[in-house]
Amino acid sequence: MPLPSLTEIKNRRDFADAFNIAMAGADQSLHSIWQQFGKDQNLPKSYLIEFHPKDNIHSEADWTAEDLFSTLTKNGDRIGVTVRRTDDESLLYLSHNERAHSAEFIVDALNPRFLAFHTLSNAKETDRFMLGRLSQYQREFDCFWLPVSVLESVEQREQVTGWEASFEPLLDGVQFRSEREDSDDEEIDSRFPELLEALDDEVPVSIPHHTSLRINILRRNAMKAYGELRQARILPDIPLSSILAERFDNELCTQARARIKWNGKVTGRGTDFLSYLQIVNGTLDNYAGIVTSLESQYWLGLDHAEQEPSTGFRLKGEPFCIKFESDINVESVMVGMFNCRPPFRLMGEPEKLSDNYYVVDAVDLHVGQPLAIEISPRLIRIYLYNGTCGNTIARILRSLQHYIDSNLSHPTLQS
Amino acid sequence: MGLSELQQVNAVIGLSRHIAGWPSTLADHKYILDRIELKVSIPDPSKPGVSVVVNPDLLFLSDERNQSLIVELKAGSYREHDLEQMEKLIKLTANQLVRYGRVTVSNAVTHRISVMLIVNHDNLAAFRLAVVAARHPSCLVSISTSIIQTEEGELLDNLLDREFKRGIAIAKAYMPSRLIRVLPTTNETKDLKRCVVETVRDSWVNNERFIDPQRIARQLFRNGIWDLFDSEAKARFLRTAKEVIKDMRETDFYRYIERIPGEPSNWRLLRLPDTEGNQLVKALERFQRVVRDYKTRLQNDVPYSGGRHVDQLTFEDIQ
Repeated sequence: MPLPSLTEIKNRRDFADAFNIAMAGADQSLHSIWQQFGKDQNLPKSYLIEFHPKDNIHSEADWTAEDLFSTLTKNGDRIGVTVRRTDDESLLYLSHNERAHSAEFIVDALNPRFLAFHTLSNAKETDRFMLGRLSQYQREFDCFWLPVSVLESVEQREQVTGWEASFEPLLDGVQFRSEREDSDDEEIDSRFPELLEALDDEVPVSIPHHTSLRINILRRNAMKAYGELRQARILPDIPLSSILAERFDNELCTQARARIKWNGKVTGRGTDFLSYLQIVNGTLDNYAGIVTSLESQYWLGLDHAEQEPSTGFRLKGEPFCIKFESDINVESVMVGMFNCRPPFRLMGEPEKLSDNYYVVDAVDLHVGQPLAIEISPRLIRIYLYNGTCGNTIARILRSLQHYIDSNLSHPTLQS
Repeated sequence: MGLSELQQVNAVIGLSRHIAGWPSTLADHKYILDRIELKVSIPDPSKPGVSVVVNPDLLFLSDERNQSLIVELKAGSYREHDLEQMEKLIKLTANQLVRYGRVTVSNAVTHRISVMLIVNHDNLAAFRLAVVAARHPSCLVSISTSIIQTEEGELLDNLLDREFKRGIAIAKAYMPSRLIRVLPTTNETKDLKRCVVETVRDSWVNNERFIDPQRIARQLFRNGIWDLFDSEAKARFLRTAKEVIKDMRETDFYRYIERIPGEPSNWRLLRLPDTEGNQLVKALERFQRVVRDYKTRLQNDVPYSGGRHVDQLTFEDIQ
């Protein structure tokens, strides 16, 4: 069957049909002609992205899919994007063409803040665009940053048949690399190879200077094995980085399998796109709930009591506190956190409060809103000021787990 | 050097919350921060027909225990009217809190109000001398980087009184410093200046082309807080903001801020991130270094060592 063209998609039915044909076809082909099949070619992939338009510090109720359309259109030339509406106002078609790179996406903006970019294009191309261009250097867009506990919670919605744990230190020995003056290429930051799929190759192109740890388990009741390994502390310093989730439809005898990564990328396989979509949307809804809940609980600000100055002010919100299992090198971590680059995307200037204790009044380069962070060897406090995106907490938390201390502890994330 | 007013406020409010790395003494005794900068106008019993304004820095309530705690903070050295202010606070009754402060208490008849004056340990001697000499009923508490402790007097809440007399050790704790980012009514220009610099930085990051003191004020004091400032506080802030922007323009930020001829309180922001194309991260890093240099000088009171970039008057300025 010929591959469906995404340009023909007009509504959700077309979208589901096209992706279902591609997914089922790819599954069949993978079984029969594996050797001739490109990596991830035609498998559905979904990139979960948070969208926060400029000049908007209010709730997601204040922006729409139309804001998304105009933002993508406005920045189109810069990142090689053409965007088109479909008959369904919450569904957009996006085409990316830049030099020799191209990819196509269907953007589901049913929740106009928490988006799913679905694609059938080649994984290297889509990774390059989504993880290297759109979410890193277009400030309105940010990845989903799934902390360990959020990946673990997939088990409550899906059957988990595999997981991967990996640790990629951001530290070069003891020190962060200093700010680079020599590189001209800002397309993709090679310091964060996990952002790309390049390491999925069986034989890596190059060996990194730092130690890279990775454990991959595939089996029924995979989370049971995960729990046992955690309990026995056989996984002491490796955070969960992806989950393999499965969903069956007993009546239709169809199934779908999806690999959910820590950066919000989901790759599907199987015979039923709708089952795959349920896994994707379950992840999206859960994360959306967590981010909005973080905002309602941790947004700090003064409220005027009773609408008049004579009755004073009330303080709402509280800092989000992260505790490390062992001492971190505070000065070195600060250099890595506040260097305006991914993964943290923060600008800030440290102010010493006491020995080995600093406060950084920072600005989140995703939404351009202020936050403050206090750092000591065992503790980080994040002060998220009213209006600053809750995704920032998830990004800092996941990045610290991924690159600094996988055993850190933090308040429960609730959806 | 003692704590600034903002540091004191954050330290004491922090005691009423369960914040990792900091004691939760007030929270443990069920106190919750109810109000910051409460202003209560009450009848003055000594002057018929005259009302006085009582303005405690912090008010904590323990609904469960039917207690409240009023805290007055002094970052500076002792001044004569400090004890007069305390006098008014001590005379404040539960009925007045309810009637004129719109505070809700569970039982005004049995409600007890403790009053605490917190001063920096460096300034303690003069305060103690004044309190002892006047036989003033204040509960005087000192704060340093190692302990918060009662020095004179007592609180009506016996349980809390014991805690503060024993002292709250903070030497190994991490004092929260940004629960309140800036106090709306602060007199400490250093904190205000820092916030102005950060707000200009945020405006640049957000590709805003113009800045002025009013815009900075509204961005910094969101949610309608700016509108609640009295005119004197507004004028003070706008003056400070204008001075800071002018100084930024004449020193480290001369490549990023440009004066608009004929408009003495408006500036244009230059080299915005949106104009940097694929060199965005480098542009952000360069700007960050400038902000860092300026803030470090500000923090340490170090004068600018380079030549100032003073703007010449133009024809538009004279018109």
